[in-house]
Amino acid sequence: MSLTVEDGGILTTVQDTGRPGFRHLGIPVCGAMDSLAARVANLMLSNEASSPLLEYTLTGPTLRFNADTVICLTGGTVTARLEDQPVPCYQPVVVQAGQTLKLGPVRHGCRGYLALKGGLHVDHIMKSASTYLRAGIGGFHGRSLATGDNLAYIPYPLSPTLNFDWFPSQDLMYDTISRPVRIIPTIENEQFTDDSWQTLFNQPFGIDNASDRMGYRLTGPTIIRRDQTERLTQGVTIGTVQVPHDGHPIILMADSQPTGGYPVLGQVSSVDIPRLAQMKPGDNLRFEPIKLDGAQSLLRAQEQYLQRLSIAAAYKWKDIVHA
Amino acid sequence: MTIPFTGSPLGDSALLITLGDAISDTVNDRVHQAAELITRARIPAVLELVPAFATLTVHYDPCRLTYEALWSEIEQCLSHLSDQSRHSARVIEIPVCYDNAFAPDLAEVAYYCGLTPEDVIHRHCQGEYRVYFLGFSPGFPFLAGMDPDISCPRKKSPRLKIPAGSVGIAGGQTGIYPLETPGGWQLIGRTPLKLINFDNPPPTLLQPSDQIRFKAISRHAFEHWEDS
Repeated sequence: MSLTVEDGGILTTVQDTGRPGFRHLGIPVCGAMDSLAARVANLMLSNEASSPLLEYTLTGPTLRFNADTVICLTGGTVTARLEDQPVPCYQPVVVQAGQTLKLGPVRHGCRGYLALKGGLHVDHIMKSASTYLRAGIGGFHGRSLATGDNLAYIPYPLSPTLNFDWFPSQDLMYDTISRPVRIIPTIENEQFTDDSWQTLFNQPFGIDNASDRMGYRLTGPTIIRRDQTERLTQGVTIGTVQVPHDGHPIILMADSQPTGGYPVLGQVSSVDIPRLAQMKPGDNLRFEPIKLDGAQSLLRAQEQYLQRLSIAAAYKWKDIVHA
Repeated sequence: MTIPFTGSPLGDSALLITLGDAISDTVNDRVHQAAELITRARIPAVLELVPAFATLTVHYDPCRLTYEALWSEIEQCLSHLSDQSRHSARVIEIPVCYDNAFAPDLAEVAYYCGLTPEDVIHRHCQGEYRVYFLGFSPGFPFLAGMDPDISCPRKKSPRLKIPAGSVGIAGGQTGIYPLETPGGWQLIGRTPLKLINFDNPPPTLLQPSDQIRFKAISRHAFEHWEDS
């Protein structure tokens, strides 16, 4: 049984938690850009953490469901209608065979996630269903969804009258309030001076149109490097802030290559990558420093919230009986 | 003699071990040895290791281990580092067709170096190249050992599309493009081998610390490579 794409939206791809373990072969992890929203969508449905789901960008798709299922929408604020009824986000929603879900523009944020109970059924490449667009592999034939595409899933029939009036904690949901993105600076890097840090932490930056799943290019102030000497290529990670010759920083994101040769100014703290993933070209952002142990504490705290959600969702689903 | 190394955080979920500051076989040997020692220690929080020229990046789960605790374990592992002789690496022969159709920049490279195109090909094939690491693109090898006399700067205007399998020169480095990508390398040949195949385990033809040689093949051999 499947869903049919009536409109693919702007950039809708199948993603999951990515394919780690192959960075030493030059293969990026990929996976959901806002990994928190994706994870919460799957947790709310008591799915496996690695269940394949859809990531949509700026404007969501229109999908016709050909079999019963239960879905959960997370991420940026989106106008969602099932037939002509509004659909809440961050809650499980019963969908009946024949119904069409229309996802409009993402009004706040940039990306949203659509999970189905039991996950989407797609082929796995190197144990992952995530799409690696640049290489044209993974997900749905290595590309974004288009009109006429069919994606398989196992039906999950439930009564549409079931009450799903529960939400994850506030800390796990998308937050429209604009906050600075926190960076752990690489202070030992002699390429950068006090002026570099002054600029980075006291001026606003913009997100360039050329930003995508590989990386975000920043507009605005330039970061001065002491010199233009080449640097030995070394490992980088998601959130690495590179400074190329023109001084406009690049922040590496989900599809970025695992090694790089540009000087590194610092790394965005992992808890703030989802925040970045919800920014789009034209948005402004500010940076703030954070210490390593502070950043790790935040990650651990978030993990505790997610564990609690996992347990709570499991309890809720135990009580639910098939229609 | 104890091998010196330093460690620094690469954000909150990775750690960078630095074993040198230049490109050298000795330093790169230490990088691969360090990877082996840490792998053998089976530290549960460690997710994967990424070697480069003179560094090893350790990706880990900070919910299982703090940076300080991880560094402590790594220091213990690396206390066993030594400049022993390298265990024999795999030697892989890469067939390359240097025919005009696949070598649009061969004449330019030859002119720049003051050599004939045949000389350039000959020197390219004479080299013994070590795969320092893979990076930049899936299956892309960073190779050491190119004859400096065939060094040539990158093209001023990069090409929008370089076919997969293209062999090129950029500065003092030679390499092979596993996937079609834009790029500024001087193209001198093409290999019929696939450097990356996502359906294969392992997905890449080459592994870090492999040894490779280039072997000139004819256009005919290139076209019929699949048959042989």
